[in-house]
Amino acid sequence: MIANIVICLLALGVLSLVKTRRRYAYVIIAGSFLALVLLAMYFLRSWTAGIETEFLVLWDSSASGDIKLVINSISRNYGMIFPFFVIVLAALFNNLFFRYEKRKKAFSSLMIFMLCAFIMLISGENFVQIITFVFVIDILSQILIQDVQASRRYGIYNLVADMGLFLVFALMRGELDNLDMPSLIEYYNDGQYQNLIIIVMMISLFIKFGFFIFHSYLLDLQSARFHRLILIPYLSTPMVALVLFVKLKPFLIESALFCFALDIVLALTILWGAAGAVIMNNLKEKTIYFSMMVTALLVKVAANKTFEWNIAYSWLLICGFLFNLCVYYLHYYTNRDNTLAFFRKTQGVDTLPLYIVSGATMIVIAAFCACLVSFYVPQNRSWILGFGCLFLPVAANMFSRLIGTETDKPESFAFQATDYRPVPVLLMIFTVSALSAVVAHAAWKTAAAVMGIFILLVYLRPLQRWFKNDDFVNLQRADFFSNLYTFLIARPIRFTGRILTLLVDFVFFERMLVAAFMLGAGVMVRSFRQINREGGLRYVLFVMTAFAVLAVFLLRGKI
Amino acid sequence: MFLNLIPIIIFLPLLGSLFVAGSRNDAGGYSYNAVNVAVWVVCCNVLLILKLFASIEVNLDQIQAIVQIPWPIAPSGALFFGADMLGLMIVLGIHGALLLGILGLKDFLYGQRGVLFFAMFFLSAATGFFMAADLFSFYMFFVLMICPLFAQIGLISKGNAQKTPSRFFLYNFVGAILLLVPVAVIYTMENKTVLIADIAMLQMPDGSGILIWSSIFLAFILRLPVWPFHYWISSVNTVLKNPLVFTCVNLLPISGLYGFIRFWPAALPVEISSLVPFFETLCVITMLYLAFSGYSSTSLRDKMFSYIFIYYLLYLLGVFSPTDVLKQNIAYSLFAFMLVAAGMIMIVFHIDNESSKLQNSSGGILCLQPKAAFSYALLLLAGIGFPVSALFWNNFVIMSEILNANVWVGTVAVFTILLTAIFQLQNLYDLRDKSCLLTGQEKVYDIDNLRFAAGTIVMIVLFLSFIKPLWFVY
Repeated sequence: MIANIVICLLALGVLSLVKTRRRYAYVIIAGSFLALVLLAMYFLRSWTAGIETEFLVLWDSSASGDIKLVINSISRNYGMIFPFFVIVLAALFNNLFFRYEKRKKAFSSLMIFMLCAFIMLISGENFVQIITFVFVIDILSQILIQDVQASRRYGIYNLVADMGLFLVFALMRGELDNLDMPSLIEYYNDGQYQNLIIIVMMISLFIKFGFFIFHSYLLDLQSARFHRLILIPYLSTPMVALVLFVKLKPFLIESALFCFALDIVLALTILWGAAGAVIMNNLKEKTIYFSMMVTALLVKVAANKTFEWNIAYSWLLICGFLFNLCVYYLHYYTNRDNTLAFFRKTQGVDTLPLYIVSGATMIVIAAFCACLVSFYVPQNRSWILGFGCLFLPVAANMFSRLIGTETDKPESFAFQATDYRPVPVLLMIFTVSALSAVVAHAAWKTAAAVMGIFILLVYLRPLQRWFKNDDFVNLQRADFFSNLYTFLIARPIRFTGRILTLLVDFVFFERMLVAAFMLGAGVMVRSFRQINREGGLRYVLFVMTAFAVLAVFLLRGKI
Repeated sequence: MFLNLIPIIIFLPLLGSLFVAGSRNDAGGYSYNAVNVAVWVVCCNVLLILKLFASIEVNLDQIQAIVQIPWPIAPSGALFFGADMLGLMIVLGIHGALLLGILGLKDFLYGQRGVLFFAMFFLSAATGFFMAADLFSFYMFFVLMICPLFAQIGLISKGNAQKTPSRFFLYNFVGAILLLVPVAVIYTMENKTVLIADIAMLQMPDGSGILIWSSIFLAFILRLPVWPFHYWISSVNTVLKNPLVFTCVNLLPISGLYGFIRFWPAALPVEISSLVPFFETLCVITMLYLAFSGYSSTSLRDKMFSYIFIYYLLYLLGVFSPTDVLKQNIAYSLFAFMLVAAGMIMIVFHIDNESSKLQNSSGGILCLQPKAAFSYALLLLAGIGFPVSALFWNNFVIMSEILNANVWVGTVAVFTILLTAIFQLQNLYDLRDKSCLLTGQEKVYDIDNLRFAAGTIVMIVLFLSFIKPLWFVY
């Protein structure tokens, strides 16, 4: 079942990497997409058939325990894999027509491998399989980002998070002598270092989610290509963190410390994300802040004790990604300049695709809100209401600023939209998908109300009236959290290292110990040289010393 | 079978060193003949080791196939050699590492033939050491290993670096004397050489146990640069500008680690067991010190040195942990680590050499060296513990046992590993950062196809070892 899909995906990913002539590249990526569609159909059929199977491979066996690769084809795993399948399908379909990706085959292959890694992570039932695929997704994400500037802090932050998880799992394995995930609860009851584990796990997850205080690495992604950037929040480390959170939840939510910290960080992340999405001029930064905000709510919903990963939750993820894709296409049709201050209205450009993308955006937002209604339970009520009050104005603000900003750029800069044709098809599909989500949850009234409010907000532009982005130039340039990282962590470590090297190696060893040894050796050599020189006094001294030694041995020695 | 194979494996590199010494220098200074002889000798020995591997029981936790060679002069007795999975994995790793070091020699023509000659000599001594089954041969090869390194360091030291061989010899000579004392005492007690496997069972006379064990401990610790005995190796490493010598010198501490593995049973002798927390503390202090100094350093070679020694100390902590199951994991991990470190040394020295042609720093140089960039990135990912080699799972087990024994020592160890990974990763980003490059720097050369192929083969070997650590045993 799922194991068959993984094997097919691996083969497909490798096939996509086969070197061909340029003209055959399109055949390969189209073939990959079609094959993935077929696999998706097989996936849906297996899911609906409800047959549960287990695929198990003994990876390694040693005195320290066996490592097994497990792929369980159970309903929960199908449900969790589903949104990632859809997102990868959308990304591959987009890749078919998108002309600004230079390495289309490699990109297709990367997406397929990413899906494979997510399936293995979701199916993982032991620490080693989970941590392995967390690392694998990190490596694939680095390849996805493809930009040194963007991936520098991304890599380092995620390494810190991964090592945190590594520490936690190693500690648990050492104490329990067991690699299986169900032993987590056992550890909570009997383990010695629950607080240490909770704190390390919490920090690792917060870093991976890119929550408030730990989000600055996500902002570096602004130097990555936009069509790759929109995939990061929904097909990379934040989603790894979400999967891990769902897996570790039985253990984490037992801790009052974790629940308390989570609520505070989530609230701050939503507020900070909303503020950033409104204030920032750079569209990529806006997208990152907006995604941060959405991720925070997704985590809050998942943190509920009664939460089950169902189809509505999957649609929330898909709609989040579709919104990013719509933003990207709006940006694509308006100007393709990342800075909103320089956006120009679409003069001279065929406006049909712009209307289609705008319509799709509204439907996606409505579908998101319709799906969110499923989680409107007493425990989440205030959070969802609060989130909704921020989400709609912020989304409307982004939307209206994209399509309605005038600029004084020269006419020669006018963008010639010659390759828009596939986009309406793509977005029609998304729109139909989003509508089907609304239908599935019978939340017509909510969807209609959301759409109405959204249109009103786009028309009234309240945030744009209150927050003029040019007023926040210094705020936009300021990078508080990077500075915090530099001055509180990186510089002190570098400073300590230099001081230690200087004090220990140079002053203590080179100048004191080695110098003292050399000096001592020199004094001894000089003394013996002096003694061996000709001269009556030296001769007497030498003989007297010999007699003294002889006397000591005669008087004190034993035979 | 064993009777023939083990002595051949030990003495073949020595024979090779004679051929290297007799070879002629080619025009241009590069000793093709010497390099070819060395490469072929190492490759042949690798095949013999694989053959020996196939003949032993890899899961058996004791030295097998013991070969006895009569010792012709006083003291009377015989030398015993044998093989087990741990020893053979280390020997195989050393051969792989030296092969990469030899390939890295292409850019370094100064004293090339001499360096190769002593490298072959070192390989012979190291193989003998890791196959030694009795105390006397263990001691003999323990001392013999430092002689070719002393000569190598002296051969390439110029200017201010000429003090380096004396420091190297001073510390290692003290270590050799410290091991000689217990060896002599044990020989006197037993009136014959003792098999290494029986050392832990020896009954020491009252009061002398602590002195004997402390002496053994100090002898090994001087090889492994635990603070405050680390200075010789840090000062030596900063002046070594030859990849093969750097590789050999950085392989020497494995002898100390191996000594601990062989002499340090899980059930510690009572004389020394109370001092274990103190040793562990010294180890983590050294790891922290190395991690901080590696992070703050700007030199690629200094960073490599810090990285290598932090991992050695991690293995040492694993040896100190009160369990015997880690021996196998340490062997798998150490094998992968030696290949990763030697591969990285080969590329780092090339980058260092080429960056001297740049107008500013080495930042962005990998943008001009796609092959080096590919090999270096892959090796680095393996080296910092990503799941592409046997390092990943085995280090996980080692760390979990260290954490289980002492959570704070383990946490600091994980922190230092993290810091090491961060500075190595930062280094990679700096070397790949296009914005640091100035124009007109096209004279920088990439690694040649042979080294690229070697790097790729190492990655394949590492990946196979990730899937099945003993994949080559047939």
